[in-house]
Amino acid sequence: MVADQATFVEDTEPFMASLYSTAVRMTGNRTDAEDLVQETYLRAYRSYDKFQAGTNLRAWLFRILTNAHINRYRARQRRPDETELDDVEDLYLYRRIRDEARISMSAEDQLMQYFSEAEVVSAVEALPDAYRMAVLLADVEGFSYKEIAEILEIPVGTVMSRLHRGRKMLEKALYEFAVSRGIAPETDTAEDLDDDPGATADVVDTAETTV
Amino acid sequence: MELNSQPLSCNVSSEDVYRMLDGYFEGVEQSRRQSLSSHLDSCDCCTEVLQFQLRLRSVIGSGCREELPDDVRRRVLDSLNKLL
Repeated sequence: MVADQATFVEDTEPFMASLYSTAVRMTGNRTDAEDLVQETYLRAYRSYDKFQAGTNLRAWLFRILTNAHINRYRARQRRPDETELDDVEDLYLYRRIRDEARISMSAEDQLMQYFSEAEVVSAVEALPDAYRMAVLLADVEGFSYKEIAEILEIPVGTVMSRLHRGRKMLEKALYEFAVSRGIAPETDTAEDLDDDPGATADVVDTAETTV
Repeated sequence: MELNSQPLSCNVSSEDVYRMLDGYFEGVEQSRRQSLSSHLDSCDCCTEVLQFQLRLRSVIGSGCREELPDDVRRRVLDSLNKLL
């Protein structure tokens, strides 16, 4: 069954706040974000008779939003330089911070000693478009890999790799904020920051039997 | 996914950490999925890294969220109402 245009406003209004929030982070400013949300709602209204009622309306709206964004800013899209990330470890921030005695890993609010909320925003906004969209959809909006694949019209494997790289780039940028304010040491890349090899070897056997 | 880094000290790969974090296990055998989940129940290392990533995610989430101003909401609805 297709959706009814008469109920469009009622059906879609609950999603406007999260669409707007994502639009602000995608465009980097509130004026462009408002335009983008306007355009999204107009496009969605016009094609609402093609929306299958009962399917994922939120994901459908986000798909229109991200398409509109990509169309508007295609000129600005740059292909992320993938090689620049090759030296960055997975779980970068965790590995760095864990090796620091300065903060406790278990303290909820201690992470914010390393960087401010404003720095989080600027690190997210500095991500290349393709990575930023994946990170916003997954880590801020809580969409699943499958939903993101539908929204961005890319395979799930591509979602995983963009998300993975985006998170890594983001974690590196956040760590650099901590370095720049002198609360974390500068480190060379590609160093083994994991536990000492002896400790690792000890637990490998048990891990292999349990995993 | 091309991952370039060492596993955790308990030998779980970072890909598995991300899978656990995102709850995505498609293409992973049921038996392996079960053993991962029972490993997680008793592994301090995985628990710590997952807690850290979840906390980081919530910091990112709350930092990135932007309130929808009432006037923006009204303008969007007004422009729709002109079409209705």
